[in-house]
Amino acid sequence: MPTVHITINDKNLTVESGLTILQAARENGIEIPTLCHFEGLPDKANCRICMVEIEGMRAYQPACATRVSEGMVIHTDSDGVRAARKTTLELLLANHSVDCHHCLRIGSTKEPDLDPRFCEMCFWCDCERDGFCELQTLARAYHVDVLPYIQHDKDHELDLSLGSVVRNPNKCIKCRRCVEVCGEVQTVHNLSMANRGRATMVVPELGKLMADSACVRCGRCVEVCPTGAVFMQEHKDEVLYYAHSYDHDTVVQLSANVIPELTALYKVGLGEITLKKVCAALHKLGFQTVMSSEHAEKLAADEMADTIERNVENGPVIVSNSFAVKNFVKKFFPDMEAQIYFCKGSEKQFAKYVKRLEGDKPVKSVLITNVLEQAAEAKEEADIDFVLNARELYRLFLRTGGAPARKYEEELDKVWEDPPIRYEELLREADWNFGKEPEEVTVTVNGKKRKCAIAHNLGQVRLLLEGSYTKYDVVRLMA
Amino acid sequence: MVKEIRVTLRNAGKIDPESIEDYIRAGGYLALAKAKKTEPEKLIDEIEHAGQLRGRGGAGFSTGYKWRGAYSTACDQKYVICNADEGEPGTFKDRTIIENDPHTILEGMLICAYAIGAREGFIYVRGEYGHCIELLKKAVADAEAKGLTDGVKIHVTSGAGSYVCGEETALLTSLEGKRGEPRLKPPFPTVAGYLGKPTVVNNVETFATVPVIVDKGAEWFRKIGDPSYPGTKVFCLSGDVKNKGVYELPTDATIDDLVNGFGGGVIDGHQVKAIQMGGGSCGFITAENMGLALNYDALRPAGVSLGSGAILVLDEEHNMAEFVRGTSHFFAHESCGKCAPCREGTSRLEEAMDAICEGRDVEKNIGLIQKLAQGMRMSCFCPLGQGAGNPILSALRLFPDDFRGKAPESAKEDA
Ligand SMILES: Cc1cc2nc3c(=O)[nH]c(=O)nc-3n(C[C@H](O)[C@H](O)[C@H](O)COP(=O)(O)O)c2cc1C
Ligand code: SF4
Ligand code: SF4
Ligand code: SF4
Ligand code: FES
Repeated sequence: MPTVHITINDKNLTVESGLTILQAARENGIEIPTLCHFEGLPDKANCRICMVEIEGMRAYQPACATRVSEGMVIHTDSDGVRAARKTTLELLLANHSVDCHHCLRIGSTKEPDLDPRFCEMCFWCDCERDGFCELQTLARAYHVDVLPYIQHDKDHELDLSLGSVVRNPNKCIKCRRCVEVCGEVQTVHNLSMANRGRATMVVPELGKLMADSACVRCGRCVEVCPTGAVFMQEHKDEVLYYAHSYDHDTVVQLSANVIPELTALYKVGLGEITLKKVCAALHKLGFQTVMSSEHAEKLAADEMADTIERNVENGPVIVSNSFAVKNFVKKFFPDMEAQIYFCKGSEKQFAKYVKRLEGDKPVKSVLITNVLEQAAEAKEEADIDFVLNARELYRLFLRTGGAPARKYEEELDKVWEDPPIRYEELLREADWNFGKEPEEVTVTVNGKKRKCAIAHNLGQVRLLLEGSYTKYDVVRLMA
Repeated sequence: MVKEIRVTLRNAGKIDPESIEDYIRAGGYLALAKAKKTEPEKLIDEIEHAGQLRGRGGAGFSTGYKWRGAYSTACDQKYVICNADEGEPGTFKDRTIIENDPHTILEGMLICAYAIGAREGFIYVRGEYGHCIELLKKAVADAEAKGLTDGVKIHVTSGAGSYVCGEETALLTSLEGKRGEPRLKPPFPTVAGYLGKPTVVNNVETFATVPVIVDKGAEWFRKIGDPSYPGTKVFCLSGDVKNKGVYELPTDATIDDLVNGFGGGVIDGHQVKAIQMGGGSCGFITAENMGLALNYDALRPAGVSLGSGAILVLDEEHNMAEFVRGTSHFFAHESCGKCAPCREGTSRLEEAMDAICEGRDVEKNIGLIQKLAQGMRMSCFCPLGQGAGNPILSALRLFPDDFRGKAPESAKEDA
């Protein structure tokens, strides 16, 4: 492995050549702030927050997009660099509808560390990202207390048309992570940049509303956005209403996939937040029944497994239980729609289960999952009342003082003893990724080894549906 | 006084720009034939070392070095592109060259194409220059008809109508049909330019100079002008001078030669207050620096450069704060919106200049401009944003009273 010698903040380092300054610094425990950079997406170097000083160069250079070279002497935290970053942050914030600073106790950026536990007694902050916004975190770190500029109206309309993925252009910092993920990774190319200069903004296809656009509701733009400019529509007030109401029963299906993000949001150690603690916190808020998600996932996997077993002898079987994939196929591969087996997802299985529970009181169903497309599915197909993701759950707990890390574990009200799902490697609940190539696995179906492909994003779905699916016996599509 | 030496504009007024025969009769396309008898490497050497040709588009980068970059990048497809976007305010030299002698540009491009191994090229012409586009198209068609292009396909395209598209990487993105925004360097265009292939981008004037160097020899060329920046430069003289216009001078001529000699001095009864050197995005000098020669090295101590060659003379009737207020509007309008400091900063500079010119919070806004300009210089993605504060800072340094003399009447009474 070829290496180069560099100096960062007076530390002599030997690092792999070809790394960016950002990678080299992070590998050596030196933090450089970033905004537009997102691991896995191409670097555009347009936020100019990661600027560092390189001796011998006239201007600062972006650490995210500048590669190390032999003898480079870098300063990542000099006064000049800090001043330049602060200027950029002030400029961004001056054109950003800042409604996260309302609370006097934690709102001041003079408070150096924002401890979310202070929020517990709070009324409510307006911004969906308050407390875990990358812009806000930097504004605090750089003590942006005063904005020395004229404040203009931030009067772009919120796009609530989908009822799931919501866009608030007033909070957009034009970092373009969403554009990249929607275009380069998902190949939907719904989001793009419009206008120039100060009027620059991100718009859905041809400036339409999201509901009329090419959006397939995969929710990936929400996951990558550093600010509150794209988020999942919240329902916390209604959810709390039903949790408290004596006239309703509430059934929650809690998926383990929210635990990692919840742990990160609370900034606590791994293992300090468990399903059982979250269950206790939910009970405390008044939710009656909290059940685990495995059973629904098992039923969903079973349906796919049965489909595969039935059809595998007649050429490639393409299965999916993703809402976004279905939308994607309708939009881009209408001819193939009939050829793909769309199975029910765990969301639908849960809905079916809840239907059977209806007793004397009306039942409200709440699905807690980080699979964002399920929120869009629930909204559009109306089979579940509410879908909460980790972020909204966190905000719900902050508002009500339900901090799960400090609860004693409580058993879930319903756990199933299901046998493990069949064809685990193929049908497991899996993460999405940014890769270009679908994953390949081999599983034995009906006594014969089958070559299978798994698409972990819509770009991979596109690749498969454009023809390479024929190379496989089974293809599973996820968004 | 120095004489005007016409290299780029050698045929101006002497030939019919629409007639390829005229151009050939004046010795045109001989250089191309001569070049083709030379090894590409020797040819590039001639331009780089012997001729020391430096780009005429603003940055003054070594042309031969650029060509060598594209030449030595192995690739089956390469491109040569002529930058005729000419967006710098006050600049119209490229138009003058095209209108007088479109073939010399084409010949320069064909020489470059031969040198680097390109089979295709583009002339990216500012959209407003409709006549130039027609002339160039005809020139290309005529040269093709005469077999002079030897299969090298040159396309004439109309620009996207924004200043930043003159920046070479933004030009490339625009040519590729995308948003006209600069892109990351490296890779440099000579390695991965148009469609990711090795590409040379040169200014109109640079290409127009090439045939002369090839024809008359590098030795001849290097004897003209200042050794650090040999040859001639085409200047656009405008503002409060008697004889506005385009002049081609050797690079050891002084500002005084240009303004008072060729330009006939400031209009009667007035004096030079400031001269903006290089175009609307550049800094100023005062009359005491008019003895400086018109090349990069000589101008550096005064904190200015040659830029695109636009020289704007302002007499004492101008208020410099008002003048650079206009500049700040220009930048706010032309920022492409890609990077945060320029997208947001240019319009804040504009607001601060508006405030100063209206006598509001003058000291505070001066401080703000200084801070902003510094942040933008160090942080912006491309030279547009990096330099957007320069004219303001330059004016502020030279004419602080013009900024501070703007207190509103009421404030003066208070004091
Ligand atoms: C904002 C901006 C605008 C520019 N506009 C032009 C232009 O209109 N014409 C031009 O030749 N070069 C322009 N340039 C310079 C080009 O980037 C590039 O340096 C030049 O075309 C190279 O040609 P040369 O080496 O022959 O000078 C501009 C640069 C910047 C940063
Ligand atoms: S939800 Fe998916 S398809 Fe819709 S805009 Fe976001 S990334 Fe694009
Ligand atoms: S919506 Fe979010 S991700 Fe997209 S450009 Fe704006 S701030 Fe960045
Ligand atoms: S400096 Fe201005 S023009 Fe250049 S990339 Fe940034 S926004 Fe665009
Ligand atoms: S993170 Fe490097 S420029 Fe945005």
